Amino acid sequence: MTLPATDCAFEGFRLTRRAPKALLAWALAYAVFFTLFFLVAAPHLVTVMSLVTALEGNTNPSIEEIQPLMQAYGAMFAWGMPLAILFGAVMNTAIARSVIRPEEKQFGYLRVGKAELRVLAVNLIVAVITGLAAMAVFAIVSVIAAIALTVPALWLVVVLLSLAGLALIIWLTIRLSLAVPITFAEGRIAVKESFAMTRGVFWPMLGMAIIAWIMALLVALLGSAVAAPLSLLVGGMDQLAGLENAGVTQMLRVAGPALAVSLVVNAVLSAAQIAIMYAPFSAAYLHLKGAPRG
Amino acid sequence: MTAAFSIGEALASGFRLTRRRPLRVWAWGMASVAPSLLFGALMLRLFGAIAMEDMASGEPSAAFVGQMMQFQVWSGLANILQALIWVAVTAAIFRAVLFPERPAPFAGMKVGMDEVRIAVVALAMIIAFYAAAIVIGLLAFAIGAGLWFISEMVAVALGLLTALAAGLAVWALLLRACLIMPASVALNDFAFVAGWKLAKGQVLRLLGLSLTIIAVVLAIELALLGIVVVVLFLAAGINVFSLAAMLDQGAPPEVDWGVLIPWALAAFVPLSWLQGFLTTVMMAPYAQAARSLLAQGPQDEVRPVALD
Repeated sequence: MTLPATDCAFEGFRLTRRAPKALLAWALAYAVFFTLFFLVAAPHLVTVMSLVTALEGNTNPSIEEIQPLMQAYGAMFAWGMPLAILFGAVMNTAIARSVIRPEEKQFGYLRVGKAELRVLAVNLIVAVITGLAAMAVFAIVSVIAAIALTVPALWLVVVLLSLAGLALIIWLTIRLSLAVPITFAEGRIAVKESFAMTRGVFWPMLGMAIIAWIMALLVALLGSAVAAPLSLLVGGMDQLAGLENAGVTQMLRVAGPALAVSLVVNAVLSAAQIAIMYAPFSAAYLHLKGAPRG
Repeated sequence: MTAAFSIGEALASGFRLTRRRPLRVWAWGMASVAPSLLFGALMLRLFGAIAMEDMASGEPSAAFVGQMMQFQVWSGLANILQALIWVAVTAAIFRAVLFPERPAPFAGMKVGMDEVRIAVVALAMIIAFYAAAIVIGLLAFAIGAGLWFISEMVAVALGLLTALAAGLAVWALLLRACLIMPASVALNDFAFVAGWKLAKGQVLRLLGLSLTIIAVVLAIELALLGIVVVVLFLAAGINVFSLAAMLDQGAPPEVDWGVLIPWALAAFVPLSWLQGFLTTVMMAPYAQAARSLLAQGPQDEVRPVALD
């Protein structure tokens, strides 16, 4: 079976033309998610910004100076990560639904149900598999790098192993990339099936992923060109630095318009980017399955 | 018979296109230069607004920092605009060479799938180039570090040799990939594979073409610079070299804006045409090479109808 990589890579753009309302719904969902994230993680975000500002110009910060920054980051992600994982599962399912069952267009394809739970589970399984592989690679490379400190000839092995490890992670990610569309379409958690379905089409799948990723990057670049002057016109975000220990109300009073602009621009851009990046995999699934596309 | 393209014919395509479509070439130049004008205006606005004390002060004021940040945002925007215009101009040049009979409103500049493909291919090539540079750097470091304790000189030499060899390999790969962009326009698809295959066995020819293009562009620029210097010296009595030396020694230039701005606007016409001409001379040959190689390809492969 061959895969028309470039045709599939454009599924995200086709989707935005076919279901523009869904894209708006996803942007709205992102706006809600960002607002929740802000309410939960804002105090930590301000601490991070203040610490980064304080560290600016310090070319050689000590561990003691970096530690509070790492703690603030940790606190921010500890609150934000579960929310992001749940939201990611809902969005992944919505995109898969919009390509595989385009007729189910209610609520912009957004639901919270069994399909979302299955996608959440498969996302976690895939993350654990790739995470374990990355950790194994990192551990092996670290051990050899430690030995290389005394046996310098091993540095070449360290570099070659790092490159091989990176190639392994990319290979694994591509081989597992159909897990979400298969899980959604067949109503069961499907990790092995993704491996089976991507056999023999690794290179077209990689090409498709690269094209989709670059197109998402282009959208981000264009978005930043629009967002930066807009944000500057309403005062910029620098005002947030120095507001550590301030409440959300005070932050909104100081940088409300800039935050609002940032929220709208980021919500629209994120919705467009996720559609461009993930829809191609559902299109590839339909193609490899030999099913008609909507 | 092995497929090949003629370096001379490819090189001539830019000049032919300029003779056939001089106004289009000018429009491409104007579009390419426009962001630089925006950038110049920004510089004038910023440096006109900054107090001399701020420039000299070691501790810049908040107003100065604010203005610098604004400048950075706007100049970033000008850079993105320049990149987008480069994509539109490149696509227009490729289409003008590949499909000369097609109507081309707005000098062939538009936003369409050709432009998307060129942007994606260009970005992919830039990312691949940087990725390759990082890998080469790592390999050179590893070889150098591995041999450092045996012989420092051998380590440095071998590290440099590895970097040089790998750098040449990357250059060859870039040459091999340089027909992907025009092939994408010619074949109306992302021609990553087709463009790559098209350049198979053509790397030396493409190297010759790229070096010839660089030589021709440099020769044109040097000749024009010489003409400008002579004209300025004879017509206005300005010795450009002593002016450059004066600026080099830190003599403050006294600018008469009332005179400079009309002159700059008058210079914009030939300079923008020159920019368009040089861009055409640099980009058209690759489209011509792709056109020629595609025309010689096997008859059963997908080819656009306009190719001979």
